Amino acid sequence: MDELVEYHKVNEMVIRDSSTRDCNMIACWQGGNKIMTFAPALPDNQDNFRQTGPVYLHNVQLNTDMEHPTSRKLINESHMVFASLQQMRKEVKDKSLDKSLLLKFSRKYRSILHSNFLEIRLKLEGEHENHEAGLEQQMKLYSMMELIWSLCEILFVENLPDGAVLLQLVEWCKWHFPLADELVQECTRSVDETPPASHPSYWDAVYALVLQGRVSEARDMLKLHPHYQTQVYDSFSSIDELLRKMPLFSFYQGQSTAEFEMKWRHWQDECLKRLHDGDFDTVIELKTICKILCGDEEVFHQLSELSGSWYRILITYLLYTNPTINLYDLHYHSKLCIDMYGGHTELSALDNILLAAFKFDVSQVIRECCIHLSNWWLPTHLTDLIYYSELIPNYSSENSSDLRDFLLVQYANAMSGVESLWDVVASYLASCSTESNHYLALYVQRIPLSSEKKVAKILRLCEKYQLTTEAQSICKQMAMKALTNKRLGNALLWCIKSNDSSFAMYIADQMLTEYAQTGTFSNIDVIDYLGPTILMSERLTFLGKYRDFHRLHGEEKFEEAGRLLLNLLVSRIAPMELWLSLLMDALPLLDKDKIIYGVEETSSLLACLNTLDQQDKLFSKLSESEKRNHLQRIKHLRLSLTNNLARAIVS
Amino acid sequence: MAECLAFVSQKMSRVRWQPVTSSLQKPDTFVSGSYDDTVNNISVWGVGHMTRTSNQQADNYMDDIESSQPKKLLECQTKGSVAGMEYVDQKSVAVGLSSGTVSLFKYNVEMQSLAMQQMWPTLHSLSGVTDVAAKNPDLVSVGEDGTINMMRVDCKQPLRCMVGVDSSPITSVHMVTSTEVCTTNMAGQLRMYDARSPSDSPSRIMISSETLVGLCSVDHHPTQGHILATGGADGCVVLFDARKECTPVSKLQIHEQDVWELRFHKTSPEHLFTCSQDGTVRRLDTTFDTKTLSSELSGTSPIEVSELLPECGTSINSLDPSGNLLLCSSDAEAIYIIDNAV
Amino acid sequence: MDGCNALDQIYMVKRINSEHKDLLHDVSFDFFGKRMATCSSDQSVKIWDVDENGEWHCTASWKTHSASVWKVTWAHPEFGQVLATCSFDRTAAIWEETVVENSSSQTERVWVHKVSLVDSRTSVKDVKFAPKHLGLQLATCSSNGIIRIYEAPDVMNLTHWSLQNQIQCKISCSCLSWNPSTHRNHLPMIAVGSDDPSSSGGGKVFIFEYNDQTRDWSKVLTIMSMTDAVSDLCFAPNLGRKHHVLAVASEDLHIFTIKPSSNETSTSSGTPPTYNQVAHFTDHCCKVVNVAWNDLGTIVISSGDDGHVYLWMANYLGIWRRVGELKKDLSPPSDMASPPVEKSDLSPLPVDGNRINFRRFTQGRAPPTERPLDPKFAGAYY
Repeated sequence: MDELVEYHKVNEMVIRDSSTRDCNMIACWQGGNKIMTFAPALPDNQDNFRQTGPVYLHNVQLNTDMEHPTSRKLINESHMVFASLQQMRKEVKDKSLDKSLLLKFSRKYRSILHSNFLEIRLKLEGEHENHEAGLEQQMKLYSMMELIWSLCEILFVENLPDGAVLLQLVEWCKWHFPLADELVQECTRSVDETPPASHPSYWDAVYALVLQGRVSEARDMLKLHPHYQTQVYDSFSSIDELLRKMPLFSFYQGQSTAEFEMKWRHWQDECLKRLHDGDFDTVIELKTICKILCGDEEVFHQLSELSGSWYRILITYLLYTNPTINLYDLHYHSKLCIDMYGGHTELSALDNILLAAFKFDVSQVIRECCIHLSNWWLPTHLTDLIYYSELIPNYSSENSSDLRDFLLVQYANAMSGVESLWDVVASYLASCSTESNHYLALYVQRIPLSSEKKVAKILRLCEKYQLTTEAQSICKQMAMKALTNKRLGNALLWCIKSNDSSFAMYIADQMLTEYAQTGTFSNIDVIDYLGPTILMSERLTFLGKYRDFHRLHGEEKFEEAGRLLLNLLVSRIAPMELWLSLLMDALPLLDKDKIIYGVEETSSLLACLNTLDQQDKLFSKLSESEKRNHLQRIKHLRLSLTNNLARAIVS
Repeated sequence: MAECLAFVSQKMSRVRWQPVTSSLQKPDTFVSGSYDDTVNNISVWGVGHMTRTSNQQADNYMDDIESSQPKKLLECQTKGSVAGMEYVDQKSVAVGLSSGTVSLFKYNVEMQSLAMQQMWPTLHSLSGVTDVAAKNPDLVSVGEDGTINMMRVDCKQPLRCMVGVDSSPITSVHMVTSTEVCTTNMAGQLRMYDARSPSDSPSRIMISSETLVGLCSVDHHPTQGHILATGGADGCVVLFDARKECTPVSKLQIHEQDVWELRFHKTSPEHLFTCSQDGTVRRLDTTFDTKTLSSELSGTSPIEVSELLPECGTSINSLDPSGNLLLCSSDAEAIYIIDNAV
Repeated sequence: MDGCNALDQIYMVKRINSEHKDLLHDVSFDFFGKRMATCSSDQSVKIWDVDENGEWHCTASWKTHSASVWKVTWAHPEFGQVLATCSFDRTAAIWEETVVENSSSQTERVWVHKVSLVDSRTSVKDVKFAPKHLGLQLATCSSNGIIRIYEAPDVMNLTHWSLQNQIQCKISCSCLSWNPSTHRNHLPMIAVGSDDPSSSGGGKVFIFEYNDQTRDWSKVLTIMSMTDAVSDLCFAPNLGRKHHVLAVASEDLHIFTIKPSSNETSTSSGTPPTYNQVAHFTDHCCKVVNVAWNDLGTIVISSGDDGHVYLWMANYLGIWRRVGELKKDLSPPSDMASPPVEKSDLSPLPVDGNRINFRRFTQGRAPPTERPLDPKFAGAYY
């Protein structure tokens, strides 16, 4: 367990600031992975130390490589694979998934890495001199990640039976280290028509092919040698025969390991015999080839230059000494090969990652990747891929989180500096197995609400992950923003969307206030089409109905208008503050030739007027001139209503 | 149906094919406008046969990549997110930005030039422009501030500013004729404005639903101008007949989420293409005969819906059909070109 | 700066002229990191907005107090664009940005003074808004040891604030932090730190909880081990954990977990909160003056008196480690043509200094030496 503790990177950053005398600096988070630093004033001195020059702030952004176009390609493309993998897990309800499925996903990830690598290479080739700084570093990083990923795929995902694993590793070498092909090409495509065999790299090319186990290609190369004769049996045809007869393990043809091993031993005995018989003593190069075939340790030492690294010689060595090696025994032989290249002290970051993989120590691989790779991409996706296959020990306690979650959060956090990746960040945070919505909820609150369209997208995200509180808050903020900008109609729409009746009431009040002040509604185009939503808040209902009254009145449907107005008062939907306005609205109806309010209705209106008259509290809020105005109006209304009552009784 | 997918390292809010001169010509150039990024820009892209270089020495794999992938030819930074973009003529594009500015960009691939030709600064407040429409030489822009601005390509001052005519944010705009403008808003209204009318109020308001579900996009039938298709925030495609009543002719639940854009095929108008937040692109095939459409509400469906893109999980923001190619852009910073979409 | 390395992480530094006439006391960001408020000894507050190209522009500046402004803080955007400031002049103030129509009938944004909270008789050292689920509440602490909780009963009217509670700490207070937990079982909680210099004065970090029944705040915990003066403290965002995490800046950096009261229905009979120190770092060789959490609560940043800023992170086993360091280089940069003084407003460093590569190394292990290898990977190693 202790081994797993150090999952960290220590970054050193320097900020140049010569504007202040002392080196004090305070840092605070801007959000995402941006930090703002400033030189603080000392708390106790008021005037002693006046700053003379300008005072600077420094904005530090971490992980800026995430903004690089190639990184973004990787992020988005791999996110699609990641998302479909999560989806698959959900669908089959078996988190560990079938091996063949995992392999498919693994290859998808790998092909993304490869296509990114190719693209950068293309860019580098195309632009020659003046390409972007750092592009070369990016290319190295991608090729390194691809190398690590494909090895992990062979060892951890494919999980091949004895024997087959080595074959895959040979392929891995061939794919990633095209040195042999380059040498062959050098020999065969030489410009000045020199025969390939006299090329200085000719034998290196043959060795390189044999070292990678590519016997038939090696034979083709040998055929180009002028001494090679088909008719005569000599050292050339002898080595040709050995190469031709070399048994190759093929798991898929139903060959058993024992059967193969027997064949192999038989073949290698033959190689040894011919070597000792001096078959190749005349041509020293052929002797070297035969030594390789015999698995001679010394010759590997000699050819270490051609192999390039301990892991490649390891695979060659195993190919010719232990071709049916078990997956779990690989690392027993690694020490020997590492020693050939200067021993453990000479190991680089990449070496350590690969060594951990050969040791079949998944945790160590992830740990080393976390420490050494400059982004969290590889450890995060690799862990996610194989997490449920029980290769990684799981520790969980009160203070700790789960490894997969930890990496997902780190990866998401590194991306959070690029604003437009917010949906990708959210998706990774949402994929955490525990505490998932907590991280997501925290993050969602921080996504800038830059436009209505983006807000719609964020709300869809909230909907998907049931973040109701956050969605409510976003709607509230949007309503508040619209209100500040005096866009009442828009504010109301947001209230309706979030079903926020109390805020809707406030906005309806604002609209009524506007009406009281100007005599018009500026948001008729919204109010008129509210439909059933007016029932959301009592005040909104009133607003809608009151607007209906105006419309009816405008359309000269006085009786209907009168009834509606009375209803608004009697049902007490209308707020007390507006009763006077409503009653005043009734005045023109009283002047109509036809009696609109009968005895009962007029009495109700009078009752309302009396109630209003007794509202001292309301009255006390008014200013002196308003009070005078208020009283005058009530007097006028009382007179008109009494007149109407008389008219009604008479008729 | 074959599709080509390219990751372009920017979220594109709008993609548009350069108009073709004849229906036989295959479109080979398009423009895209990015949004929500630290630095946004518009880019001109070349597709397929046009960009194939004489250098065919590279191995096959690389060759494949090079020939089928769109290639960025030109690029120009914009001040803010691109929210609306429309071709005015063959080589000039009107762009509406989140800063409230509308600009006219002109480009020439041969000359390697892409530059701003005209600019109408900060026509809109709040979050700026949401959409633009063009019918050479007329331009219209709309914004979240409920404002509609009318401009002419060669005129530095806008012809008409209808400030705050809509109480809710306007989501999209379309020009049926050079004087007839239709807009959609967040309150679910489709409005018609007449540029000749002195009044700022709409000539008519049509509503898509009682429940105030917003509309996101609008397009008109290329041959039957009175048929208007709108895409709703609830995933519905709502068809209106501008000659008739204010209620929709037909309402079809095509998607699950916001229909960000929908477009009739210019030369085969029996196809209507839609794209949505739910990550799908679909094609509706029907004659768009209003009689059969309204009868559809009562049962038998004369509309066939086909899936053009496997669900990709991220929102498809924009689409543009031209010839038998369909261009789409998604929030995964990807651009799709679908062949044989018709 | 030798050649770049494929394994290096990249960071970027942009310099901004604060335009303040004196050194800053506080910088505070809004919820989205899109707006910044700065306050200074020059008695003013400045508001900064990010433009389309990610550059900061000062969009408002005004005199807020009649003495040094200690702290500035943003309210949750649900309440609009609202700021609170506190000052040596013994007051705290509330400011709101409103849209007004100017003389040429164009809309303009102005910051309006809403209210001054004048209850304190001594310098107000810190001011913080409560998490939004508690409504629009505000806590201040002053140098004579009084913590005050204010509330705006009507969030649409910010001119009216009522003093809800007044807690006597009897010891000079320097900083406070609200517990952001929204869990319904968690009572509202405030942590307060004291900058009293006498180390014999007992614990310097106090935890207060609000009791719904008594409608009062009461001290429920004193972190007795913290005897040195505390400059800053900050609760981490709560991730649905059962315990809270508190970072404290004192002589050293401390991180505590706090287990809240066990029984929320009857606090009086329930067990009081308990604390546990999960990390204690002496890496700053001097006083730690500031601590801050990132949005996800995964990284805490601490600033020392010596100009070193460290980033800390807990691994998935809950073990805290240093993961980053920011250092100030006082020497004038050699690659800068003109002295910095002449550079006006927003001047990022020249391109060379813009993208800086740094090497990362694992603690306790020296970076391996470089050696030539396969040409493809040459230079890809340490």
